[in-house]
Amino acid sequence: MIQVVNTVKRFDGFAALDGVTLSVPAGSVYGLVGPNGAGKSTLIRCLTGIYRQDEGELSIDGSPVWENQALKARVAAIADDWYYFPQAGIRDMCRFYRGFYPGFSMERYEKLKEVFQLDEKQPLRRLSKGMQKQAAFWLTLSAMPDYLILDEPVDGLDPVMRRQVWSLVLGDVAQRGTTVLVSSHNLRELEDVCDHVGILDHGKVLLERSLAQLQDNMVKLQVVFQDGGGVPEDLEVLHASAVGRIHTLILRMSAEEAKNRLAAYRPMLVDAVPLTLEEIFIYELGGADYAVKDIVL
Amino acid sequence: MRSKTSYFNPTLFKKNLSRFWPLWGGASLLGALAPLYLLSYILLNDHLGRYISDPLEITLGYYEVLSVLVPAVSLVYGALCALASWGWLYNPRSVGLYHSLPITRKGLFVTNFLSGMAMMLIPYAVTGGLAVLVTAAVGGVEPVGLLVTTLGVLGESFFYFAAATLIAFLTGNPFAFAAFHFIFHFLAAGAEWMVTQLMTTFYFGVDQDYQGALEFLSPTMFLTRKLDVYPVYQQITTQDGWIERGVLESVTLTNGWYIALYALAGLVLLACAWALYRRRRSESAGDVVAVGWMKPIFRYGVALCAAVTGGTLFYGIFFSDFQDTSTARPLPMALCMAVVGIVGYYIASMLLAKSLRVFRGSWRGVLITVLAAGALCFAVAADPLSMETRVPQAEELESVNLYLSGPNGRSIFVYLDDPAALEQVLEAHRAVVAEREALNRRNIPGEEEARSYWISLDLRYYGKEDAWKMNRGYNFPYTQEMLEQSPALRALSALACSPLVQEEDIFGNVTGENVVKSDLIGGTVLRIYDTETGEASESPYLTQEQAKVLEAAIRRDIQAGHFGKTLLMVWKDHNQAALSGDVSLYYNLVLRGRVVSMNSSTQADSRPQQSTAVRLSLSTYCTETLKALEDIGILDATHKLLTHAEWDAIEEGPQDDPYLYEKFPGTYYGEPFEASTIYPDPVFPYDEEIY
Repeated sequence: MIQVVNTVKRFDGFAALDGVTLSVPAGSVYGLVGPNGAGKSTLIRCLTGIYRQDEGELSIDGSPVWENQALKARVAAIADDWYYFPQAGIRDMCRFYRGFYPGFSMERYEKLKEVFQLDEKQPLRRLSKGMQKQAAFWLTLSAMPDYLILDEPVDGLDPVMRRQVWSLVLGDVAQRGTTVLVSSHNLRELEDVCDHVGILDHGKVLLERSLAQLQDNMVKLQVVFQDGGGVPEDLEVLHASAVGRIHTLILRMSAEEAKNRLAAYRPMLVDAVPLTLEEIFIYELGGADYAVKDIVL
Repeated sequence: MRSKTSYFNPTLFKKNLSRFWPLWGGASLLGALAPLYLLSYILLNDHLGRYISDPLEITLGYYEVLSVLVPAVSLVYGALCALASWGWLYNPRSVGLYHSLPITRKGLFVTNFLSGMAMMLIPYAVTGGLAVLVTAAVGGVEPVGLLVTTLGVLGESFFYFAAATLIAFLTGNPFAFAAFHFIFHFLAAGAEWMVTQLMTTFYFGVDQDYQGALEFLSPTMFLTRKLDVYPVYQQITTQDGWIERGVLESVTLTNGWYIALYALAGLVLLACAWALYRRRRSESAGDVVAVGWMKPIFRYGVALCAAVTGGTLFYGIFFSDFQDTSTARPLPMALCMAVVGIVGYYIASMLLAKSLRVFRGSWRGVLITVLAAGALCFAVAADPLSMETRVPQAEELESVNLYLSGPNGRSIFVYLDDPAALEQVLEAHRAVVAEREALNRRNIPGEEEARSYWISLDLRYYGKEDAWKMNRGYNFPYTQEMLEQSPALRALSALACSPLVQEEDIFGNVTGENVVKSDLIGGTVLRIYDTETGEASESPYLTQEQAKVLEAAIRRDIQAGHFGKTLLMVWKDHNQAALSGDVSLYYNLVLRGRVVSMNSSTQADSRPQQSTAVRLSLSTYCTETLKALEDIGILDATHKLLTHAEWDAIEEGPQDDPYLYEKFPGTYYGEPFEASTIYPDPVFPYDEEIY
C-alpha cells in the first residue's frame, strides 16, 4: 500500500505539492489525474525517491521511501522522459537494470522479447519515441516490481501496443498482486484499467475514490420537465445544458437520490446515464474553477 | 525494510568505466608514449656513454614529473573524470533514473567516486607501469624513489579528484562546473592579484607585487612552486683542474609532505562533497549554482570581481588621462567600480535565474553592490596597511634586485645581497618615499615635456623568510634643479655611484654564485678617435696582461665612485661627461651545474663553460681607467676617447633636440667647433630637415 500524508514539496517557494494526502491500496490500479501543473509528476518523483518532500510522509508498505534501498528494489518506475545512456542498446540497459533490481528476471526478459519486437543491440537513441517506451516497459516489467509507478506510460505507443502493454500490466496485477500508480491524461484509457482514481489540482487532492464510488457519487440525467419548464432554481446542478426540451443535468449525488429529488417537480422524463471518467474529471474540476470556457475568438 | 543496503554497486562501477573508456583509454594511450620516449632516450644516452639508466637518474626524472607534470595534468584530467562521474547530476532525466534506482545516495556517491578515481589512476598506472618495465629492463629501478612517486601520484590524484567532486556538487551545469573548477583552483591567487591591482592604482610606487600569501589555496601553483627536486652530484675533477664530471649521488624530493597534506585536505573536501550531496536537491540539475546558500556568495562575488577588474579598466580608459599624478583618485574609481559592479551583479543574477528578467525588485542588491564597491575602493585608497610608505627593514632582507635607469639610455640592473649595499638601497628608497608627494606627478608644472627627464627605479626585495618578497617601481620626471636640490634624487645619484652597486653591475656576471672560476683573457676598446685621420677605430685586442691592468684600474674607479656619475645627469651634462668609447673585457667562465645538451661543444657530463664579455661605458670621471689606457698604450696624444658632445659636434650636431640646440653655448664643443658656425639659425634648420 502506498501512503502519502500531508506531503508538501516546494520549488523556490512555489508549492508544487501542497499537503497531498492519498493512499493506493495494495493490488490496485490507481489513476492519478489532474490538469497540467497539478503536481502529478512531482508526486511520482517523490514516490520514486527522486525528490525529497519538504513536509509530510511518503511510505510504501509502511516504510518511508526516501533512501530505502530495499524498498526501492521492489518499486519500478517509468518516467515520462525515461532516461537511457546515449550509446546503450536495450541489452546494455538490461544488464544495467539487472545490476540494481535483485528480482530482475532474465526469463521474463526473454519472454517479453516476443512481445516487444525490438532490436536489442540498436542504440536506444536511434529508436522512435514509441519504441523507446516499449523498451522501458520491457525492462521495467522484467524487474518484477511489486509496485509499478508510471507517468504518462503509453504516450507515444500505437493502439495495438497500448492494449498489449496494459494487458501485461494488468496481468501482473492479477497474477502477482502488483500495485500500479499511473498518471495519465488519457482518461478514457484509465477508465478501462483503473479501479481507483485520485484527482490532483494545484498540489492538492481534490478527491480520491474508487472508480465505482466516483461514478456513484455523480450522475448525469436527461430530463424533460412539464410545460417546457426549465431547471428548478433550488436544484444544485454541477452542469446543465438543453437540446430542445431535453435537459442534461449533472448532479453530485447518486442516481437514485437524484431521481427522488426530481420527482418533486414531476418531470415527464427522467433517465440516468453513467458518467465517463472524463466527464467526472471535467465537472469536478469545473467546481475548482477549471471548466472549459466558452470563449469566442 | 532497510536491510540489503550496500554502498558499492559493481554494475554502476563497470558501467561508468565502460561508458567513459575513451577518456581513460585515450589518456592511457597518451601516457604510454612517455615510457616509449624514455626507452629511446635511455638507449640513445647509454649508447653515448652517459648514465641516464642509473636508478637515481630515473628517480630524478620521476620526481620532476611528480612535482610539475602530475599537478598540472591532474588539474585538467581530474575535472574531466569528475564530469564523467558526476555529469549525470546535470541532466534532470539522468538524475531521475539514478535516484529512482534501488541504491542509496551513499551508494551512488561511493560507487561514482571510486569509478572516477579509477579513471584518474588507470592512465597513471599504465604510464608508471610501463616506465618501470622500461627502466627495470635497463637496471634503473630504485624502490624508494618508485614508492615515493607512487604515493605522490596517488595523493595528488586523490586531492584533485576530491576537489573536482566537491565542485561538481556545487553546480548543476557542466559549463559552470568547468568555470568553478578553475576558479576554485586559482581563486586565492586571482583575488590577491585583483586586490594588488587595485592597490597599484592608488599607491605611488607599489608595483604588481604577488606575494602568494594564500597560494596554498591554489594547489597547482603551490605544488609546482614548492615541490623541489634536489639532486646532489659528486664532482669529479679531471687533470686540468676545472673540467669536471658530475655523478648523481642522491636525489631528494623536498616538501613532498605537502602532497600528504593535500591528500588529507582531499579527505575533508570529500566529506564536504558528501554533505552537499546528501542535501542536494535533484531539481537543481541545470542550475548554475546548486546550493542555496552559495547563491548570494556567487552573486556578490561576481559583482565584486567585476567591480575591481572592470572598475580599474574603466578608470584607465575614462579618467586616467585627466589626472596629474601617476596614482588614481578614489572618487572616480569608486564610480567606475560601482557601475561595473552593478553590471556584474545583474550578469550573476541572470545566470542564477536562467532568465534576463532580473531587474524587478533588484534595488536592494544593487544598493549592496554599490556600497560594497565604494567601501572597498575607499578602504584600499586609505592605505590602512601603509603599503605606500612601507620600506623594509635591513634585518628582514635577504637581497634585492635593483633597476635604476635615467634619461640617457643607461641603466643599472643588479642583484645585491651585501648588507651594506642593501642599506644603501633602503636609504635611497626611504628618501623617495619621504618625498613621494612631490615626486608623484606625470609632469612638472612650468616645464615643457622636453625639458623634464624621467627616472625609473624598480626594487624587488627578497626577505629572509621563505618566499617573502616586495616589489616597488617608481617612475617620475625631474629637472636639473631637482637633481641638485631633491634629497631623493641626491640619494639615487649616490646609489648609482656606490662601489657595491657598480662592482655588481659591471662584474656581476663574472663573479656571481653560479661562477666557479673566471679567467680574464683579453679585451678591446671601441671607438677610439684618431685626431690625425679624423676616424674612429677599435683598439688592438688587449693581451691578458693589458686587460688585467685595465681591470684593476676599473676597480679603482669603482671604489672611488667614478662610475655611475653620469647615469642621472640631464642630457647636456651627460653628453659633456660621458665618453663614447666602450671598454670590453673578455672572460672564460666555468659555471656550476652540469652539461646535459649533447650539442654542446663541451664534454658531456662536464661543467658548463662560457665565454662572456664585460662591457662598460666610461666617462671623463673614470680617471684611473683613462690613465691605465694611456699606460698600456691604447690612448695617447693622437688616439683619444671623445665625449658624446664632442662626437655630436664632429658628426652632425644634436639635430633632434631643439632644446639642446637652443641651449648650446659656443664653448660647449670647445675649439675648433662653434655652434653658431654650424647652426647659424638656432631653430629653422630643424623645421626644414625634420619636419
